[in-house]
Amino acid sequence: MKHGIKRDAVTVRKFTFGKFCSYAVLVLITIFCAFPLVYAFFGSFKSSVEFLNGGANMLPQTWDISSYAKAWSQANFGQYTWNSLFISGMTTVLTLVIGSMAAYVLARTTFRAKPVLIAALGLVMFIPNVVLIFPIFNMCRKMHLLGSIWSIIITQTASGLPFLVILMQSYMAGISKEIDEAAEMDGCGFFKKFLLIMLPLSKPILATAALFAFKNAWNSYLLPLALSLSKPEIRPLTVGVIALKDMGEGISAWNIMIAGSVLAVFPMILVYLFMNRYFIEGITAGSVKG
Amino acid sequence: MSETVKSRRKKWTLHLQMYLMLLPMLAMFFLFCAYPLLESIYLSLMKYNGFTEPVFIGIENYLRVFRDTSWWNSVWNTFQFTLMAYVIQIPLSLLLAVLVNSKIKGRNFFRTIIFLPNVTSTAIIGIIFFFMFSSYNGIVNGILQNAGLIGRPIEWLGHVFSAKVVIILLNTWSQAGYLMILFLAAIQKIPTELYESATLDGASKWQQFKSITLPMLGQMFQVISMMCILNGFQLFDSVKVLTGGGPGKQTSVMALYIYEYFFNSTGAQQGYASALSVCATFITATAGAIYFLATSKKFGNVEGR
Repeated sequence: MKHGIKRDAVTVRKFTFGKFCSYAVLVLITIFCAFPLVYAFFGSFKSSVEFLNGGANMLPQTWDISSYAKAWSQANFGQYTWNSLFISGMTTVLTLVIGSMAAYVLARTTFRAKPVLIAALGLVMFIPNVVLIFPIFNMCRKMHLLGSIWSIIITQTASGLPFLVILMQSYMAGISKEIDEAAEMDGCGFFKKFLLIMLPLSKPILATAALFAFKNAWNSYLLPLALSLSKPEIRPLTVGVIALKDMGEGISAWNIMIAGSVLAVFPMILVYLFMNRYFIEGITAGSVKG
Repeated sequence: MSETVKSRRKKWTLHLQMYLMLLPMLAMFFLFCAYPLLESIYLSLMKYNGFTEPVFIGIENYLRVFRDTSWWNSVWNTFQFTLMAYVIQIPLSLLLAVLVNSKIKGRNFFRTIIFLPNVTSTAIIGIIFFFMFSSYNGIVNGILQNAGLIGRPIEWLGHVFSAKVVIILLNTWSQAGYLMILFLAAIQKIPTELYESATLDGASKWQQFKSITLPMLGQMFQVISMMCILNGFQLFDSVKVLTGGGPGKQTSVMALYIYEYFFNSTGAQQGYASALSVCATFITATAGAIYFLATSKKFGNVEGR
């Protein structure tokens, strides 16, 4: 119907204009995403006075690391950083050990309660975290865990497990059973098969689960906040930084807070920049299964 | 005879190993998920402040929930923030997914940076946003004033409407890249032949998007929507850090409102907080179920189930 040549001309012009718009949108959003991080990074090197003066300048006029020194010595951030590392590391280990065993059993056996159990694990995700926080707090008190850093580690593990078990389970269920059967012929028992066959074959999903567990524990706020209310020494960085805001030290603590924010956020960013393929693959795997 | 004994024994050791391997996870699940949920229900029927013995008061806490207007305001805020995921985050991230999927220079760079917020702690970014939007020394006001767009500093977090805008900005910041990657994964699963034959038939990019991409994304829409509902109803970190629910309790959300009744240092009311918790669980589950029932039929057809 339409005139051939004319239409081509229109598409060409549309194409370049469209491309311009694509770039415009992407650049804008990229700036939006990077802005707070860049702002925090440079802000943490401003002197206290300069940071409080504000204004539109992103870059520090003079580079000053006193905020970090103060955060480290006065505000106990050395301790908080260590706590964050310890909590995240231990949560990752516990999640991998407990989760992979459970996932293996769920992937390779059938028993009467299995569908119920899997459904329960899925439904738990519908319960808002805040609902469980006080009874969890109570439970820790009953178990005499309250005030110990392990209370955070164990409950953090428990809160991440349902999702990660389902994630690992569906991956393991996809591994061919023939290898299992061959190993069984060779006299491998149930647990030995798990150690020698299933674990090596599930390395990719274990790596993903480990990343998830570590990231979630590192960034977690509500759970460690509630469990460290009476014991500031066991706070992770997230809680420690934000506590300064609520403590009413007000503006005098701002430069410590910004340095703490950088400490809390940039390690994960570095890990991500080096391993971003795993992050993104993990996210994708999780959504398709979950 | 000995064969059956042997196989029975084998079965027994298998079961023993099985349950031993499952046990740690089950223990975690019961101690920190199932039991706490039951305890919330139990406490919701009690008058309890964490110190004195709980006293049974029946459904009185629930009656109070219905009369508590600031609670319902928090619920309404939660709905608003969740709805914004549909109005802003989902369309935006879909657009971004399409853009970074096209043959555009530097798309890996864009992908990497836009996804970056996902690895950061929303609570900590909340602090950074708090600085950025503070009225007298925040950089946002600084830039706006330098550009001559505003005469005097805006008190972003001091007014309900602008505080909500900042919260929505933060939520968008932390969610958009994540949703983009999910959409991207789904888009990349669409067979390219569909687009090739559509191009041969002379379909425009927009037509292709409308009649190939969108319908083929059906299931991912469902997953993402569900996720937005779940995340939306759990919203806590950003609101707690940015406004603490203020001014007054006017920007509070369900999770924050409950948290404050649980852990308020002066006069916590755990019984009442538990009743609120049960209501919140009910509201979340209902919203999820309604959404699921309403869409599973529609999207089910697309997937050919």
